This record gives sequence, C-alpha cells and structure tokens, in this order.
Amino acid sequence: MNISTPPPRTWLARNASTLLLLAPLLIFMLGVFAMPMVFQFAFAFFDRVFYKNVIWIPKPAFYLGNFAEAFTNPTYLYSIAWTVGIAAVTTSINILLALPVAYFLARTKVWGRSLIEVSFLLPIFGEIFTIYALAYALTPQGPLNWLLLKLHLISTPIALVGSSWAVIIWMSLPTLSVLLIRSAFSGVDVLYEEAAQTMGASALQTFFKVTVPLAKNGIAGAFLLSFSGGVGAYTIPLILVGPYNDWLTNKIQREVDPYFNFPMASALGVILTVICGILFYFYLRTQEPGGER
Amino acid sequence: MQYPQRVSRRGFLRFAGMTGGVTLLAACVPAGMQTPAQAPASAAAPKLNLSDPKEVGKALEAEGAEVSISSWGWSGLAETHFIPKFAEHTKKLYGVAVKLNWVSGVFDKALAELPVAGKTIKDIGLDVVDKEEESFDAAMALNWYEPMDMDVYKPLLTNLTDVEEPYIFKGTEENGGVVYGAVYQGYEWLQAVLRKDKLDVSKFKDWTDLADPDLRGKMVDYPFNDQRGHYVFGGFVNELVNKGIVPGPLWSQPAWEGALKWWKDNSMEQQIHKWGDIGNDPTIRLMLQSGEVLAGCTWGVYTRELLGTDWNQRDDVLAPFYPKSGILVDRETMSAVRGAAHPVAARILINWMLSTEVNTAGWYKESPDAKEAVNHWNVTEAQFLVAYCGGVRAETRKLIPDWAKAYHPADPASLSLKVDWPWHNKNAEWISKSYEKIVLGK
Repeated sequence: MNISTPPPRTWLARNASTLLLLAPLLIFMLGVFAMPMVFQFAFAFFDRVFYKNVIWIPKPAFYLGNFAEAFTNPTYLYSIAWTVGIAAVTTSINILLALPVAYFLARTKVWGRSLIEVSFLLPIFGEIFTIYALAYALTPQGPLNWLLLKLHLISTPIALVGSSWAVIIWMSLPTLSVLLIRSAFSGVDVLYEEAAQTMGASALQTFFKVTVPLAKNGIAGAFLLSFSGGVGAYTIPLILVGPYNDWLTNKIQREVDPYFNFPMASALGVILTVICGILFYFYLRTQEPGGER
Repeated sequence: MQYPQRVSRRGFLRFAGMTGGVTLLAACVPAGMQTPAQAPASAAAPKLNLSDPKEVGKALEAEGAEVSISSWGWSGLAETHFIPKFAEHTKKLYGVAVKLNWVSGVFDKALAELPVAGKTIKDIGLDVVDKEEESFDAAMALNWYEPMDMDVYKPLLTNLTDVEEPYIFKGTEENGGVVYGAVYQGYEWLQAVLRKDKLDVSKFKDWTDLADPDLRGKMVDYPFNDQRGHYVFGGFVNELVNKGIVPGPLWSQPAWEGALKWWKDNSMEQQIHKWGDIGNDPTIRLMLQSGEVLAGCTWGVYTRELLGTDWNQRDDVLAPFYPKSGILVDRETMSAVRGAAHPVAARILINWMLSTEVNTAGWYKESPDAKEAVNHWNVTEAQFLVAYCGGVRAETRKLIPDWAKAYHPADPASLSLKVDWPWHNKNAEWISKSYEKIVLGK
C-alpha cells in the first residue's frame, strides 16, 4: 500500500475558519471604530480657515499648531492635567475601595453573594438616572447635607452640586472594578496564602505580598478600565458641574459646538487617546513578566 | 501550533507606530476640502406653469407630495397642528395632501458637520430651513440657499409680496429671484420673564437691574457658550455702553470685555440658579412655577407662552421684562434649500408660513372690522402666544384677537436692537472664551 503524505496546507486554508469567525467583528470594528479614528487623527493635523469671514471650516494641511496650542495654552494644559489627575486619583481610590470588597467576595461564601456582586453594577446600568439621583442627594436640600447638618458636622449646607467634588465622589465609586478584581482574586490559589501564613506571615502581609501580586493582572486591568472611563467622562461632569467644567471631553465638545474647531477638538482627542495608549503600554508590562522586551 | 498569548510591548509599539504613520499619511493627503462642498450653482429653473392650481397639483405629485423643513419646536404645535393643517391646505388648494416632515434641532449640528463631511444641507433631505437670522450669513456663505422667488415659483408666493421690507433678505439675482430669506414671525428677541409676586418688578427697568440682591441664585439664563447667551448679554453690553460705564461702540471687543468685567465685579454669577433654556426645558419651567427661580432670560415667544400658561392665568404671578435700553433681535428666517428635492412644495410651505393663519396659529379675525377673532385651530392662548410675534405683514396685525394685544409692548420697534452679524460671527468664539477667562478666571 502506498501512503502518500498530504500536500502542506496553505496559511489561508489553515486559518480559514478562524478568519471566518473573526470577520464580522473585524469588519464592524474597521467600519465603526478604526476608520473614524483615522479621520479623527488626521483632522488633528488640519488647520482651519474663517471661510468668507463667516464660518470656520477645517482646512487640510499638515499643521502642528493644534498640538502646540494644546501644550502652550494654559487653559488646555490645565484641562489635560486636571482630567488625567482626577482620573488617576479617583481610579486609585476606586481600586483601594474595591480591593477588600473583592477579596471578601472571592474568599467567602455568604448568602446572596451574586446579588451583592450585581449590586455593584447597578450604578452603571442607567447611569443618567443614577447621576441625577446623586445630583439631588448632593443638593443643599438633599439627604447628605441634611445628615451632616443633623450630625452637627456642618453649620451650613455644602454646595456639592456645581462643584467638582460631586464628580470626584461619583468617579471614586467602585463598580465594575470590584467584579474584575474579585475574578482575579478567585484565580489565586488559596494554597499560596496558606503556605505564606504557615511560614509566619500575617493576614495583611499575606494579602499584600502574596494575593495582590498574584492578582496584579486583574487589578491592573481594573485600573486601566477605570482610568479610561475617568479620562473619557463627559456626561457626569456636564450634569454635576455644569457647562463650564474643566474636563477635557467637555472642552472637546465646546471646540466642536459652538466654536466649529474640529481640528482642535481632534487634537485634544488624540492627546486623550495617547494618554490611554501610554497607560495601555504600562498595563502590558504587568501582563508579561519575563516576556518579550 | 503555538499562538502568542498576549500583545507584547514590542507588538504594541509596532502597532502604534503603524497607526501613527497611517494617520500622518491621511493628514497629508489633500481631501478635496480646500473649500466646503457646495450645491451646484444656479441650475436652470424647471419649466412649469404654477399659475394653474392643477399644474401645481401635478408638480406636487411628481415631487412625491412631500416636503421637509428644519424648524423649532413651537411648543408642540408642529405635530399637533402644522402637519395636519398643511396637508389640508395643499389638498384644498391643489388637490394633493402634502406630507410635511418637521425636523427640529438639526441645523446647528448640520452647520458644524456638513461642511466637514463635504455635504450640503440638501444632502440631509431638507427643502426649507427655518432658523434664526444668526445662521443666515453662514448658510449663504456655504451656498446652501437659492432664491425662493425665482420667476417660475412667483405665482406660489402670494404672501411674500406684502411682507415688510425689513423682514426680507435679498441677494444675487438668479432666474429672476432675489429673496434668499424671509422672516415670518416678526420681532423675535431675547428678553426676560419675572415673578412679580415675589419681586418688586418696579425696580427692574433695565438689564443691569437684574444684579439686584433679590435675584441672588434665582436667575436662569443661557450660558455664554451658547449664542442665545451672547444675545441676552448683548443687552447688558448695550446698556453699559449707553451709560458710559464701558467704552463703545456696542459691537467692539473693548465694550464686551468691559461688560464681562462688570458681570464679574457685580457677582452676576451668583445670580444664576441654573444655566439653561427655560423655553424648552420643562424642569426649569417648573422652577419658575414653584418660585425656586424668579427670573428667566428667554425668547419673546416663550415669555408670552409662559404668561399664557394655565397656572399663570390662574395665579397671575409672571410679568414680562422689557429692558428700556433695548433688546437684541434674532428673528426666525425661512429659506429655500438649493437643489432641494421638493422645490414646489417648499414654496407652498414658505407661503403658508407667511400667512395670517400660521402667524396666529389659526386664531384670527375674518376681517379687520370683525368684533371677535375665531379660533379656527382650536388652540390655547399659550399656543397662540408662542406663535404670534408681531407679524411681518400689516394685514396680520389687524386680524389678531384683541385679548392678545396686551401681551406685546406698545412699540417693539423702539426696543429692538439689531445685531451686527459679521462682527458677531467673527467674535462669537472670542466672547465665549473671554467669559471663561475674565469671569471664571480660566
């Protein structure tokens, strides 16, 4: 019997099924994300002209003036620093608050655990509704000021709505991060923690020196997600602070309407994207210990 | 077979580099956007005999018996009355019920985005644009409009002939037509409404009186990044210039800078309870009704509508505020879209909008001598008040109901201030940014 080896299959033949599975998503992403993003990036390098002395129109050019303006004009510079700074601070608070809760949910089997987990998602389901509820809660006549007054912690109501504090409070609230970190903690084998404790480590030492490092991929992912949401926050500052807030997203919107300055809006958008890109780069570092350098 | 498990840092940098490269390439490629896209200039007018109603009917059917207008909300009148009434109107005159598509809130977005996308206003299916005159110059610069009164369409525009001259915007002659815009309501301006039961309204004679301590945290106004906010503030600037508090003339940067400093020095920010639109935002209206807000800067039509609401008719708590130094006007202007799909229906719609019937929301006297006005459309007083704005034809003013006359100042013309549109177009961004810089210190 003559057994002949089949001819080697081409790359396309080997990967056809994978490509077929990926195609819908890839085409969708190309159309609704990649293409618009390329245009947005390109717009960032456009100039603009005051067409017939009536209306501002983008003008194709390779113009770096928008970026120069973003990094020299104190208003934009402050806005960039403010947006990134607040996102960093609120994300840190968010993660710190999420850690113990996530650990508790990962390690204990309490009745209604699923319900507790889902409850962390409630604020982001129907966000507008929750934000308006918060806006009411923080008004001078709202329950928070009522409580603080009754406890004699303040003598006059604090004006939280209209100030950035309301946004900071909202953005520090752990939601999805709790679930992400809980999953990461669940993936850490209890044996490691028990081993550490048999060797004399305290509970806190075990948590910070064993559990957290082993769950760092998940924690970093939660940080990235939270931070990206923080720098991209638009509606929350608009509702809780008002039209003149310092968040870069709102500045971007103002550049489009009423200023018709698409190139400047795009440049600011590119800066936001690059900031998230840098963070994503550092996130990758946490994902590949000893990997490719 | 081994698959790479993760994106490596080197892979990420490679991807980022490629993306950057593509981006720079895209930025360098001329996109044919040196000038914004424009509709073809002056296409030959169609050969139609629109003097004959039967021919008009045929033309309407050929167009698809449909017309689209970009307009404002009219406090709901568009849906409840305009759409069915226009179908009745065209059916009665031409035997064809034309479907009116009413589109609100798209024009500003279109003005910002269509030139960037290389499109014109006709590309979003509009036949008629109804927009404040603030945008007229920009739309004209983009060549979005054509003369509504081209020779072929003149027979359809019976009401245009007696529209008073200040309400007509003319331009270059095309196919016998010169009218590119027609104001159809009247003297529309940005004034204010006050709660007279909670304020001593006799103290409020002019704009700067709104700095009164009784209004601390009790005012609603349009924000400064909104053109309407500029026009309200323009009233303050005009008064301050007139009084010599800030240098003139009104339409100059020193005047507006000086007025912004006055705004800051007089803690006007503290007067504001909320930046917003009392005309269209029901929650802010509720604030006025409850007394949480005591003054709202808004359009004249919304001021009169609020005066005519059932709760104010019952409680009589509102008073119009007509600052004596004057009020900036920004009038609703209709235009025919260049190259639109339904040009005949567009002219019929324009003519109808200029009629006494539409100007009065169907509540008018059959003749000037008639004792009572007839409420043909069965509208409320508030609905009438949101529609009627002084009219643009002498005939209309004679036919309004007697009760409505008290809702208008005796001589609106003496209070009306004209905006220098070229100056404002050039300085709108500067005004908004100067406010942030001078008042907010940003």
